[in-house]
Amino acid sequence: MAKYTREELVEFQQKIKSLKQEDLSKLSPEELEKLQFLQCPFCQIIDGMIPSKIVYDDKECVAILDINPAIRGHILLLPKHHYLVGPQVPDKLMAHLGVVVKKLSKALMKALKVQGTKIVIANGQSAGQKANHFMIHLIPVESGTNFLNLERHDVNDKDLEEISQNLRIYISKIFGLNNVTEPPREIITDINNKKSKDNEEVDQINSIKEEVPLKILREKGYLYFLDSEGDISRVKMKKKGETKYPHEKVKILNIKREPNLLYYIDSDLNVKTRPMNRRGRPKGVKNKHKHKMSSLTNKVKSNNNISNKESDDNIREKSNLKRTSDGDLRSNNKNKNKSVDLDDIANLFT
Amino acid sequence: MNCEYCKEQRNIIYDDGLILGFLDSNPYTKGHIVLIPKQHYTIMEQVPDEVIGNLFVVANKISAILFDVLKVNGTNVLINNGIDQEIPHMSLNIIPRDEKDNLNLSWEPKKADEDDLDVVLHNLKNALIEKKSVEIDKKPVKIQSSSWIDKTFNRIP
Repeated sequence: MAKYTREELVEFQQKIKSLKQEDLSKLSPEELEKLQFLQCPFCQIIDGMIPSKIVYDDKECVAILDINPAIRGHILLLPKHHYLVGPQVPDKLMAHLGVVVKKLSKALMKALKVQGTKIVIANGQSAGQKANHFMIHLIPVESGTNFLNLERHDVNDKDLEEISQNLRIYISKIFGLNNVTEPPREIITDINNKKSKDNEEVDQINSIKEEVPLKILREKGYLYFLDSEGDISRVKMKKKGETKYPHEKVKILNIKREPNLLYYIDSDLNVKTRPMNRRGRPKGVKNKHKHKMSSLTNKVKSNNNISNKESDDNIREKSNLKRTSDGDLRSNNKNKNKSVDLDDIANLFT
Repeated sequence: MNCEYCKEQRNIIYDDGLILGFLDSNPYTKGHIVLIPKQHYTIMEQVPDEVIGNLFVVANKISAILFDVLKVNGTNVLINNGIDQEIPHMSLNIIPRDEKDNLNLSWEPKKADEDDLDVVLHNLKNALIEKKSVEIDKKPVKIQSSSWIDKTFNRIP
């Protein structure tokens, strides 16, 4: 489906021609989007206004054959939304583009019977970007052609170490767990300012680098959760015939939980909250089926609450013991609960 | 395996268990970074989807960082897949660019015939569809029979 009709666009073009440059800043966001659409030929190709040879098409991206190819079979992969350069593209879309690139390069090798493909992304004019729409080039290359075979240079080991140290600081800052929630751009500018001011503070940043682990993504085979002390920790998942693994702390946050909120961890290891689902019933009313159980648990809680407040520390010690010792403490606890239940049930009947 | 990238331990910049990033010792330009999947794959088609996705995301983020750290005006991402690969390990190059460097990463656009484009398009679409059918064939077919005889036979060690 076309976004805009042709008449609409012609009308809009005439309107913009009549405007002065000062008035352009006053345009509404919808009109700005229209203006961008008019100026970007690739947005018009994606929309179908300009005819093209579409190789691949899904919800988020389109692959077309380049009309002016470098080599026969040159493909352009375009995200459907308009982005100027790579850093603007969100992570999820970028990952999807990567998977599509893999598919297309396999198809290129099969269809054109070439030895290999070259995948090129250009960010910025000095990198050779010509269009204002972010795109990935896929170019099939036969053996023997000297295409994009770049020259290598020799460098001192000292220079390499300097650059790698510098980069490691920034990367650990941006990918590091302590700064996941903050936008990366601001952190960079902060460090830049500090660096120019003082050399001492650079040493401080170096020390931070050592503290922050480089691991960011969730590792496979681990369960990540928010523990009782409000920190993120993880456990290795148990398989058949293996013993239990100990908990490891990943990130210390000291979050204090509030009642009636569900705390959970999203895919980027950020802690998020949302109100607990009460299945549409108001606070005081109890469920029909769970009437007995809920009343019981409330009573147990009210009995235990007084003692809980007095001996918080003891209970913490106990909970620690629970993890380490194998089963004795647990079974004791279960028996206690059961005995309370039985008494209460007896009370209900009388 | 006797692969240089698998053994690489110098100038490591990024490591998340799946993907390793380091500075190239014979760079195209100053600050040339190589990203590789830690497990050994020779070409991109062998790499699983998750790893490829992460590889692109990390490359995108690091290329954004390069703008600020090295104060360059542009970055290139280049994958040599199956050709011009000096080391048989799938790798992704992030190349910081300046206007003054003499790196020739541009090409001369040619004019293509409409008919030729149609032929290429047809071949490509066929290749994309064929791949799907092969995938379906590869799935193991389980024959489920309800008769008790089959079940008892299966139980016998």
